[in-house]
Amino acid sequence: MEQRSRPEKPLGATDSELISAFRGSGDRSVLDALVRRHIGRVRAVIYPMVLDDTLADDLTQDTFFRAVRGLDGFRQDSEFSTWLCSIAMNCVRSYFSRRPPPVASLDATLNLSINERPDSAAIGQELSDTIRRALERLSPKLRSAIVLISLNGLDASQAAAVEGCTAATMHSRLHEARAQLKRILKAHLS
Amino acid sequence: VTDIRDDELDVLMRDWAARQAAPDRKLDDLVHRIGERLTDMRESDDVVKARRQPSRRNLRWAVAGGAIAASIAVLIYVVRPFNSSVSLETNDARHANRGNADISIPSLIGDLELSEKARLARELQQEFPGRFAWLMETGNEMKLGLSEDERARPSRFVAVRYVIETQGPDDRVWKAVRTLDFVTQSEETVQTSFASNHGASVAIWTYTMPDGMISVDSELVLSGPVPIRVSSNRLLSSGAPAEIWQSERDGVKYRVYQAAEILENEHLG
Repeated sequence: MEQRSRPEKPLGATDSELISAFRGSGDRSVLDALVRRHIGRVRAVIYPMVLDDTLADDLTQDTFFRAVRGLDGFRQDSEFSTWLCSIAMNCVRSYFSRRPPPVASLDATLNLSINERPDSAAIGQELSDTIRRALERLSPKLRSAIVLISLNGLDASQAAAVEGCTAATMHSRLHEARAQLKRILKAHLS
Repeated sequence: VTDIRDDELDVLMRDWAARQAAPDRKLDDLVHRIGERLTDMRESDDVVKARRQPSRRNLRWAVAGGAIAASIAVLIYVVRPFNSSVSLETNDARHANRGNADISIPSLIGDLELSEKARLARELQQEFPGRFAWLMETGNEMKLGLSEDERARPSRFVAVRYVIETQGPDDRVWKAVRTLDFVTQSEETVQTSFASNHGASVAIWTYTMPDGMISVDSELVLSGPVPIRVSSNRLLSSGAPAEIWQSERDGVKYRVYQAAEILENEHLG
């Protein structure tokens, strides 16, 4: 994913070192560094799940809020970024439990008439809207497979750890999600 | 459909996602807002700690506090005992292991209690195959939540406990005055009210994290000497209670502790 000019790993401490430093000192600047390092990724996980900017911002905040409150329980047997992904997905599930995601109408017209190619420069607003509506039609579990693996580069095992299922289940969900997306987007991909 | 390659689709989706990414300016603003919220949270925690320091004693407050505590305690003693001597021993041991002097012991869910809850969950699963969703116990009240449709496969069960505690001005220890116990399936929304507490309601949603931590969202509204309104989103280590609310009125302190435990296979038998 194109990720602006923000460095993925700022110079200096590792995540573990920052976490230890924050646990020891409670220093806000240490926490800011940790949040800044991961916030783009966390929001990139949440946004395609909820497909709403304001909601994505709110859930991103909630993710870090929960993470910091639960930091003492982080056993560091997984990457901090993976742990954050788990919390982010959990925030999304929690939100969906209160407000189930709207199910896009099956007879929604997708207007797949344009002849754009799947290269980054050519994606227009219409295709963007089409992809959004295609994601809306995926169930949250299928959507999370696409979001974690296709969009955010986790492998099936990491995604399975985030979702609390087996890697085989994750492969199966990804396969089904891709098949559904292809059916919806085939006019753009052909 | 089959002639579209997965990598083509992924490229398309990643390009789309890149266009939806928040700009740096927005992320900076979010970092700032998160920092502010966390600072507020830490200051709030500091206030809680400061309030736990010994305060000046006042006989009038003590009498009032004692009366309030006793009146609520009556409700508790009608209930099935959650502090059997055996489970207290277990709890004490776990408490000692944590080395936390300020933890709420009654909020810890003992191993025997876990086994008992698991047994109950198992029986209810057998009684209502695929439909048992949650169970609430408080005082002499018990409620059962059943889903309308059968589930293909139940998710993990989680035991969640809330303990309301008071401490009068002359009290050296906190007293548990009410306990709310739940057994619920992970990702199940529990929404219920109480026959014994008019206007009271509770909503809970739990999710078990892959690393064993438990995310618990709670909305508690309870009436009593001090109205309790708690809105909490916590990530809990299994068996490690957390204070989610505190208040003070007329020299009497009140707090709500929350704990959660995953009912593992060995508990479910």
